[in-house]
Amino acid sequence: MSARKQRLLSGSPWISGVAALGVALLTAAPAFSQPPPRPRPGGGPPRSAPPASNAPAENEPKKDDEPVEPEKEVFFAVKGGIVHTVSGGDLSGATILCRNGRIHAIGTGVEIPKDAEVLDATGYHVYPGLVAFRATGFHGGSDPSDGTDVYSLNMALALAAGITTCMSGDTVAKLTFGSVEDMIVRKEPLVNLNYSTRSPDARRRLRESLDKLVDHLRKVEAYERESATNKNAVKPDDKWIRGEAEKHLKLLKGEVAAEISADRAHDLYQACELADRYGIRIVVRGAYEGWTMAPRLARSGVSAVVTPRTRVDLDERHVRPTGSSIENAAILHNYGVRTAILPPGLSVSTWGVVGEDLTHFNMEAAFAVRGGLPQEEAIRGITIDAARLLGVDHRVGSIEIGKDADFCITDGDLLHYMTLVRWTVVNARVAYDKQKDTLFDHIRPDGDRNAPPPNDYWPRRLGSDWEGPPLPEKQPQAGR
Amino acid sequence: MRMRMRMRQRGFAVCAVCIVAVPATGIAAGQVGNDEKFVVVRAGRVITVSGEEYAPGMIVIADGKVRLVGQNLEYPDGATVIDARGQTVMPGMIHVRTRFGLPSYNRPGVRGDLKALDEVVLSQIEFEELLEAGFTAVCYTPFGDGIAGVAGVLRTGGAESARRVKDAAYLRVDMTDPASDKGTLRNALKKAQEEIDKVEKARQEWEKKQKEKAEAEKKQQEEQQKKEGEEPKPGDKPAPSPPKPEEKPQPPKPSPPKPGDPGAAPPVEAPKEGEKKEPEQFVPPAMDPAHLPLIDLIQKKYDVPLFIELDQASDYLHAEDVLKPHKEFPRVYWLGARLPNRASDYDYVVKALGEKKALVVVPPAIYYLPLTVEQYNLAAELTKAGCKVACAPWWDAPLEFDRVRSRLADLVRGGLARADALKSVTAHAAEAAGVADRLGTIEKDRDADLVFLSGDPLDPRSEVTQVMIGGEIVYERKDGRR
Repeated sequence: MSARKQRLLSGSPWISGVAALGVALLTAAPAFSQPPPRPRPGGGPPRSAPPASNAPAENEPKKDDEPVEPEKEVFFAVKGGIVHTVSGGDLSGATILCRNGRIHAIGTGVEIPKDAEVLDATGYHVYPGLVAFRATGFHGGSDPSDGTDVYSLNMALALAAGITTCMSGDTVAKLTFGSVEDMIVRKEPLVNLNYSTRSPDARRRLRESLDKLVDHLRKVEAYERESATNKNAVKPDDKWIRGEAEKHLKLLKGEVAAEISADRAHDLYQACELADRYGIRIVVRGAYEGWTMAPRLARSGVSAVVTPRTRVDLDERHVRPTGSSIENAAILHNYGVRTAILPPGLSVSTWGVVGEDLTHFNMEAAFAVRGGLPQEEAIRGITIDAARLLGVDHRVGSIEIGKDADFCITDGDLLHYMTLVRWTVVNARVAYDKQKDTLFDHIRPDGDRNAPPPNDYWPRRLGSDWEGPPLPEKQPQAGR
Repeated sequence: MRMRMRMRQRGFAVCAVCIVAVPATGIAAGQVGNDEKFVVVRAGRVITVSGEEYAPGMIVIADGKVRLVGQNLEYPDGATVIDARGQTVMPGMIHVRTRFGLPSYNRPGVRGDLKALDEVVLSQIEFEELLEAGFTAVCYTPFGDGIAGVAGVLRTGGAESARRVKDAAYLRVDMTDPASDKGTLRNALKKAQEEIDKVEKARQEWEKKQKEKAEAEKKQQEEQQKKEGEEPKPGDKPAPSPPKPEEKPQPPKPSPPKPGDPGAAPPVEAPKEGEKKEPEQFVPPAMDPAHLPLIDLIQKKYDVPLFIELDQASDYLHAEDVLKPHKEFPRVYWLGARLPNRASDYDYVVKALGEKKALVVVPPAIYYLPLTVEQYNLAAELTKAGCKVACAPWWDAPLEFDRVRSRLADLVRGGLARADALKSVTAHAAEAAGVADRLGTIEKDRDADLVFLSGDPLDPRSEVTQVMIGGEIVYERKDGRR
């Protein structure tokens, strides 16, 4: 057992406290709810909190894209694992009970109903399903629930990497292998803005559009004030707000955030200015020079999606610090910039330069740890922080009561290079089982890192009852 | 090859004894006097597909329908006897999904009013190649994305008047590209429901109006009765009231003048409808003919099933997702596997199909697991799971028609039961085409559409020697061919 595992098992005082509490935990459940978002530097309400993100999930009004609860209660339980709630702490040997696809109770004394499907994860680590800020190749069509091939190899590989939710196109959707139900989490959570120093014209047009809308909002406000006293007040015309302008209006109202691709300090600076000027929430993707101006980003409440392994040489023409740094994520975090982590390749590639795609999603977070980011924060960067940037943290990203039952159950610490995913659970359904899908079953079967690989790992098995080809009683000896 | 001979007369007393041996009702003495035309096939082997195989076997055919199957059967004097004692006879094969001889063009959207058979011009298509391969019936399918139209069954030979077997065999629903097809089907079902609601609403309004009218008349009558004898009004008012009760039971009668129906699927609205000439009758608003097959299904008229074409395994889930509120719709699945190397993915849905005891049409092909030489026999797996499997040639190429029997032999070698393999092109294919009551087996009262082979149907050396459709030999293999 690794030292890291030892440390996890020995537990902090509050883990042992939890174990002792037993059933009482059920009632103490709110204690696990995630802490409020980090206060923004300079005070003020947290900008990045989407509406109702802090409210308990059960109390919020039902949205269209939320699954309708079936009449019959379906229970699913993961028991015995080392539960990393991400938002609340680690619980050794706890049981997670899920009801109708949502987490119902977490704790060591949770009673499992008789008809529940039970997944015994004793000795395994239970993490929330990983959230990829952006991905391609897992879902299809403009509406993923209509166009996705839910038996595709890509989806199986992504699940084998522990990913359960990702943004495909402009929709946050789940990787519901073998099911087309409850796939969509949120549509259009972000507005893509082209705001790069390379296209000054696009920047000008965007500013014009935003200025016009700000003006409109002021007029609306004035009208509302006036209409209280003056019945003849004229409502400002809003028929022109269509298409792009409609999206921008949502942005100004704070309903969605903006996504800007910006890598270098100058572009990042522009993004900060934009955020300051219009008070909008901005997520910058790339941001490899973010470490040079982290305080500025933090001051403007700009979040970042970084790729810790990016390597860009410094530009000697500048006197300021330039280029990438392995410490990027750590520095951004230290200054309070919310940071999600994404690998360089946003798909699954089984050719070319492997290892820099989403099949090694956890390894990307490990790169950030190498650069000084605390381990817990690195895990947050591929779970709850990514979910929060997408505005879906009320449903996915951490193990909390009321959230979706999406888990990534691994045979070791998530960020360790030898760790493999044993099960991936999506919507309380086992979507990937390492032993049943022969993609990775030949590598260290059953989580035992010292066990020899099985002989019959090829071809890819269909279902679990395939016995494989008969083996010779004695392996032929190599010729002299 | 074909030999006809007059059999000697036999006494009917002997006949009666033989009838006892055969459970099916024999030919009563009285029937001989009718104008029925009897044909008798004496074969080395008769594969009925529905049950037993007789070797040697006999088939007695009366007026193009099978009357008796078995051994040592009696037949009346004067019957034409076909001596095929060296040959094997099986029911004619049915091609469930073909565009043979028809152009391919895309007709997207919902076109339930189109019938594939309307495209067929008999004189323009050379059916000889289908007969050579042993196909006695083909199901012409409409072409195009979405819901392209209704398929129809046609015999490949015989009298022209008897060629059309069924005009509406199935409604073809494409689900090979669910990103667009799912929306098409969903909207089509919605539209069909709207059409039904439209008619229902109109009916309710009409009934309400009639009620009001009746009440008004009643009032008037009462008033009239009060003012009894004052003024004998002209008989206008009492006149309209009596016809109403009479008219209500009438609706079945006025089927000929259908106002809202432009010719597609005639029996749809018949019970609902009234006629135009009497204004008292309810005249339903016209329904969209393109959605009529779906409207029928929603109204629980299950004559025309859905024929859902799938490409990948997940297309099945998408199709079922749309049809979730319509579980009872009869349906046939086509597992087309455009990418044969991903065909083994069907294994994910085989269990679900088997639990439903679904009727599935597949190409008669052995697949391989990706990047391996490991065989995957889809037809066998589906059968094992509980499905009824029909096989249809992958392409409409004459060479492919010829290969069907040897491909079936491959499936049998790969684990499919021989009986299931034979059923897949006959009985189950007939069921998929909705003509199981007439074609697909050699049974009493089924059409005498038979194929004569020089050997076992699954033996690659055996050839089709003769083809009989409706009791007539329509094809004979020319000597020296091959």
